[in-house]
Amino acid sequence: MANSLLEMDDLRISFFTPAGEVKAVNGMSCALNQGEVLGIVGESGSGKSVSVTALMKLLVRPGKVVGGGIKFDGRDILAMSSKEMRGVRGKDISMIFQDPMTSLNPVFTIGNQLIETIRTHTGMPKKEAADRGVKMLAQVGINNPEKRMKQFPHELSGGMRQRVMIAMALSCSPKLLIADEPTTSLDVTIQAQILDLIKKMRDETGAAVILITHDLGIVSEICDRIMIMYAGRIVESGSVDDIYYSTAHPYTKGLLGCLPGSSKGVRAPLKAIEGNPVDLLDMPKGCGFASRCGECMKICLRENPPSFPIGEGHVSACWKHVPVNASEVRP
Amino acid sequence: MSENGKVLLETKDLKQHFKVIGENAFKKVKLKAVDGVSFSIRKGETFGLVGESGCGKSTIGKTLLRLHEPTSGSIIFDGTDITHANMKPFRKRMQIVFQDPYSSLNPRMTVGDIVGEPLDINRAYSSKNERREIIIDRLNLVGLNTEHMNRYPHEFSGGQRQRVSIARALALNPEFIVCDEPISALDVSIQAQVINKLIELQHELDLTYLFIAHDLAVVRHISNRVGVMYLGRLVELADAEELFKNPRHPYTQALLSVAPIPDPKLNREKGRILLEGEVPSPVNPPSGCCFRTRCKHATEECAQTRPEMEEAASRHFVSCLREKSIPEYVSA
Amino acid sequence: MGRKISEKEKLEGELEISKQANPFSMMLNIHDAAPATEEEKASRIKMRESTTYWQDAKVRFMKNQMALFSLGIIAALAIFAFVGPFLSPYKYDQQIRGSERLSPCLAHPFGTDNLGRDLLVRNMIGTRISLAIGVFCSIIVLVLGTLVGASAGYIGGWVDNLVMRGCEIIYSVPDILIIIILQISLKNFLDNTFPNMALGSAMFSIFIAFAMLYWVNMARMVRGQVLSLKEREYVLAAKAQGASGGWIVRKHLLPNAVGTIIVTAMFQIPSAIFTESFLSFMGLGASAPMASLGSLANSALSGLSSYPHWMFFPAMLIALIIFAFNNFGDGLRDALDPRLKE
Repeated sequence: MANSLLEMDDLRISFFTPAGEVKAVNGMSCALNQGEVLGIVGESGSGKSVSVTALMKLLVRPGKVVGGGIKFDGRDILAMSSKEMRGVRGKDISMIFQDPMTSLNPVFTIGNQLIETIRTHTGMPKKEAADRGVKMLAQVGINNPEKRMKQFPHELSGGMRQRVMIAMALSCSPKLLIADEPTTSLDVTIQAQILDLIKKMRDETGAAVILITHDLGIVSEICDRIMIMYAGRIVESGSVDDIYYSTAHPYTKGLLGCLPGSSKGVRAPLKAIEGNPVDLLDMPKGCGFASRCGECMKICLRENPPSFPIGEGHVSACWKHVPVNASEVRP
Repeated sequence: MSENGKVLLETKDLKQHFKVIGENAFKKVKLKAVDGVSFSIRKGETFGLVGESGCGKSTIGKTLLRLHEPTSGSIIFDGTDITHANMKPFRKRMQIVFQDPYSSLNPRMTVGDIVGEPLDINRAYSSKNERREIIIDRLNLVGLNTEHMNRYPHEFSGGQRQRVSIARALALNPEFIVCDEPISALDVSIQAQVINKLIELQHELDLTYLFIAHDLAVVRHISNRVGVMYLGRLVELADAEELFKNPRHPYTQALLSVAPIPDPKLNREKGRILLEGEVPSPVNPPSGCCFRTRCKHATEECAQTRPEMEEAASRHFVSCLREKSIPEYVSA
Repeated sequence: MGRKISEKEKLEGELEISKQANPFSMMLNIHDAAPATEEEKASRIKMRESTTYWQDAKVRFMKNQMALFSLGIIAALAIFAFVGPFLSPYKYDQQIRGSERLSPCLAHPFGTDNLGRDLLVRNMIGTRISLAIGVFCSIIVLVLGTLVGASAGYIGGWVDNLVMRGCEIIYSVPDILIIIILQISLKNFLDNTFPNMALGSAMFSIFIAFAMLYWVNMARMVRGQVLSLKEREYVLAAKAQGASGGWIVRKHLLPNAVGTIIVTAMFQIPSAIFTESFLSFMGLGASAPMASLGSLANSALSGLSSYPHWMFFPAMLIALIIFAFNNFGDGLRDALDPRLKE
């Protein structure tokens, strides 16, 4: 296999707020291959969105990358100038957001924005770009694309706008598509359409996809690999089957355990994860999940666990998974 | 819970129409948020209401408490018609928990004052001490403690705020609580805490819930009976297990089939019914059956006649003209 | 496969590094693997210091040096205006024969005017009048605007429509013109009813004119706030508990709009001061021998080329007052309502 498309190495991001330093991402390493769909799952404040914002170099003050590196297609993203980055954004990496209404400009028509995006990156003549725009809209399942090109964002429904966003994101055949909670503001029946579309586009274009979500149901449907984040760290990562059927980290277990499901007995108490998310402003040392963990050990309160491999491509950051030889070497 | 318990709350052909500014900015049009809904909730049970955004489920919850004045139809609470009655005596008995734990708590009030507000409004205590005791009791009920009383909402996480919201609803010892998407805005790991708490409180205090949500798995877990809404109308109503095992309305079937399950193997196997298109506007709903525009099984007749709720199986009501000819749903 | 192996290697490499960096980090012993007690886990959860809205606002305000500096200027001006005249050996209307038209000197730091009156004390009195007008007007505006705005916003419907149309009418009338007309028409009435008023009828009619004209802005702000606040779910929750309209306005709407109200009232002060000075400069404000900064500037006009300091001091004081109040208002706005910034 060739080099990975994207590599993040010990990425650290902090927000310098008046109240103090908020460590939003706290050492995040990952690799993504061409054509792969990676799901990043985490709750609010886990750092999942912030990390891709940094990858797009869209992080704004008071947020700052304070350590680590990001390599995309062999190039160092963090060292790029903003001009270079503009060439990458939208062309090599595109992003779709949770709320398509705020990412479309309300005063321009769909066609106008689509053509503009295509022309910025390819320098196509207007006529050709328009043809390509119509083709893209048809490809994402929009009926009557010529008419839609002339409409304004507010004339479309939420699902339709998200389709337009996807068309726009894919119009320059990016190598990587980042979808940040793309279906959270949509209804289930529309969500199913959009997820199907993302899958179809991946198959057709071969673009890698990073899907950020809080919903373990969605990632199980379309992802190849999953990373679970908690308090700015990746606590577990592995293939879909690893995560769902050989769950290792107590937090992942907790997440899967607390979902109501048909097999769990109606109205029986759910196995809730007790406690509340950790305060990122005043992170206690040791493992971020310790205070809510049912299997917490003394060491968890003192030392932050590094990632331990527990299977082919399956990694867990929990002291429970210390390789046996390591503890034998130093009793 | 009880199959033949007393009916606590009943609605008959409830309609809630709003006047909104339509495409023509100078003419107001009617938005049929709730368009003829009848159901009854028995004492001690949890009645789940599911549907997509804009189907009118939240509006029903607010109309039941008369936070909106119903356009027509009737609401009967504990044998009394409260559709037009003075609500003062009923406010103590019916409460509501809202979706957004951020906007549902006044940021300038302490948690103690928020929980104490219903007591203040209804003068439900004889001394400052009694007020304090009631507040502490309710905070303890939801798993918060005395120390939290003097703190402000912004110091709490989403889950804790929702607990405060529940404590406020419990302040006056209500019998009936509308839970309007109480967990949709919470993190997954917190949702389970709140669901458990709600069930626990129901047992302890003998509460009746109307539980409104769009998450099918949650509704299935917490409800005894479930109603499915589409475009302001109830399309199916049955006991929770029956509804999820044998959905009969094509909309319910589609909804169930596309709900993501956290199980990759099941996901790969399950057959999905992808609905085409989008929900029509409630300002101008389709004639006849409101679902016909997205329904595979729709015929000419569906455009003509509006289907009524009919008992398709024991205690299982469906509003579909072609119910008999719709293939059985194989659940995953 | 290459990637997976390399990832594994990398991880082991990481472990190696962490061992070198901290040799104890991998020293796992039996004790480390013992389950942590509930107390140990609970000790990690700290609730942050409780802060109220006002404490937060204070912290934000104290960080704003420009606003603090302005607050200092305002305090100094207040002392200058209200304590100063008592310390001065002269009275504001005292004419000292033989010391007419003095340049600034030790006895008269601001000099004297053509009637031999000490300009320092006259400027003090002028500042006092300006400050008083600013504060009184903004109080009137605050009370009237809040009442009208809150009720229009909360009741809505035709009441709201009526009030807002009224506001628009007042908005569209030239305010200086109204003040002049009011002054002239009120003059007789006031002179007869309160013959011994120290401020003079002109001053008093400025108050009335301000009260009638400038609440509109405040009412609009408050109405807008109330309109957005009343859609909040906590208001709905209070309704579900049986709260009356008055209760909701008092307990929920006003406390949440208070930041905006204070800030709007604060910005009213410099604008009132400015208008008053302008009117006095036109000869429509304070009547002699009472001095206001505007009338001082006006009387300086006649000797502008020979005695520029007559103009300099009142003009500088007006500028200082307006600068300080505007900056202070800015600081307050940032502190009380961070969202309003930009």
